[in-house]
Amino acid sequence: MLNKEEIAHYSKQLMLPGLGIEGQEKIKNARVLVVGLGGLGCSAALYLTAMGVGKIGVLDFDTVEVSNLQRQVLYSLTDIGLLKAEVAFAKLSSQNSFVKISKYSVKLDNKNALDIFTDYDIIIDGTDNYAARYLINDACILLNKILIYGAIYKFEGQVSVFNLKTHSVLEGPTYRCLFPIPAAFDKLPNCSEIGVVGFLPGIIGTLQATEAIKIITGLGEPLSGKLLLFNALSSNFQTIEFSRNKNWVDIAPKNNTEFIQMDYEYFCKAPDIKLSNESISIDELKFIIDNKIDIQLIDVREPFEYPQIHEFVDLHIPLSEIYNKLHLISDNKKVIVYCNTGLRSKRAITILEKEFGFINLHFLDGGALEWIKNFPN
Amino acid sequence: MEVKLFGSLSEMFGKSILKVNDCDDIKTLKENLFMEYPELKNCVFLISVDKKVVLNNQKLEAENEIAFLPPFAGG
Repeated sequence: MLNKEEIAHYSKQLMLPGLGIEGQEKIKNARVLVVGLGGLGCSAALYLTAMGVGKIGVLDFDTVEVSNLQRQVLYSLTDIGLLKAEVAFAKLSSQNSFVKISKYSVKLDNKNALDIFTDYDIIIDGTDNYAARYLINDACILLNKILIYGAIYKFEGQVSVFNLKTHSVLEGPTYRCLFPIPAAFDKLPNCSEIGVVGFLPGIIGTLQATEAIKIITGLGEPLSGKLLLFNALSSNFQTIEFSRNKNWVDIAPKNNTEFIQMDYEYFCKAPDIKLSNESISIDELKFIIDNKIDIQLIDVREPFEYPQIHEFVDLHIPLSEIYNKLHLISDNKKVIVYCNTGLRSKRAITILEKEFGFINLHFLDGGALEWIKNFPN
Repeated sequence: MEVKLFGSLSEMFGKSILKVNDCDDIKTLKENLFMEYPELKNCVFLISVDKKVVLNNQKLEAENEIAFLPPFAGG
């Protein structure tokens, strides 16, 4: 229920069709957590507070620096050196006394994510690195929270809504459905190295707040299954559609225990899985196996051949039998074929690609012998 | 045929639209581009055709709108 003061406070948005008192009450009952209080987070938190989201969490471990001020609009010169979560808490609390702000001056990790996210319905990703983004995504999947993604690069931005259940109980895609393979984060610079133009996170962060309000009130159509792309230089907006992909969702930790054990920095730092190449190195295969990435592994050696690799959960299709067993080869996930040295498996792939049109095949460079040399049973 | 480039990819090529020889399908397009620009093999990006992400091989027509979309991390 809204009291007289709230009605006066929000009068300008109450008069909008589709919002009204009912919509404002939904906003009042909503609980949104803003993770990361940089350019995106400041802007998102600002508008969510202004519009009256009842419970807002602000999470960041960092302190305010002078170079933040050109884009992180919650902070001013007198805040330099102070904890961002504390400053945000004070600023937002004074902006709207109807909103309860909770502050978390912590670095988000596997343990605290599960605890903190529990108290919210919508999580806004305002972080600046891939490891955090995958961690947040996976926590949201486990806890069934809606995730509003925003990210920027120089003059471009991306926005999407993940894990949204529609009325028909169809689950929306996750971050992993869009970007299943992380860009190797130690090769790519972050904002502190490539620069950020002040207005851009303001636009993208406000778009994230927009999606949150749309989901809370039921107004309009959220960006679920849609990636919004913005280019500030051309002032161009466009939307790309994508779907939920069960294979990629299944890679995410399935329970709290698996989630807590996941090393997201390693996941993002490890060698790029060059799945665009025909050959896979033994290091890449080890990474795939360690992270339980869903692939099909096929051994094309004859049954009597050694060495047998204990870690491999694989399908045996001797090269001599390949024509009879085509139906066993998966066509909807990556397939890695191996033999003892790589020669036979390379030949198998050539046959399968040229004669049967497979496009998802790779061979293990160096084969089982290379594996055993480096990773003895 | 044209490929629209975003983010770090458009930076890598120094342009936002890459003109390529007509290709029958995505697989051929990727093979041709990887041969001409081997550094592309190390990049992570989505491929969209006519504003829809494609995961598997797909036939291409000359008038298709193709885009390569890398992830962004900045915040």
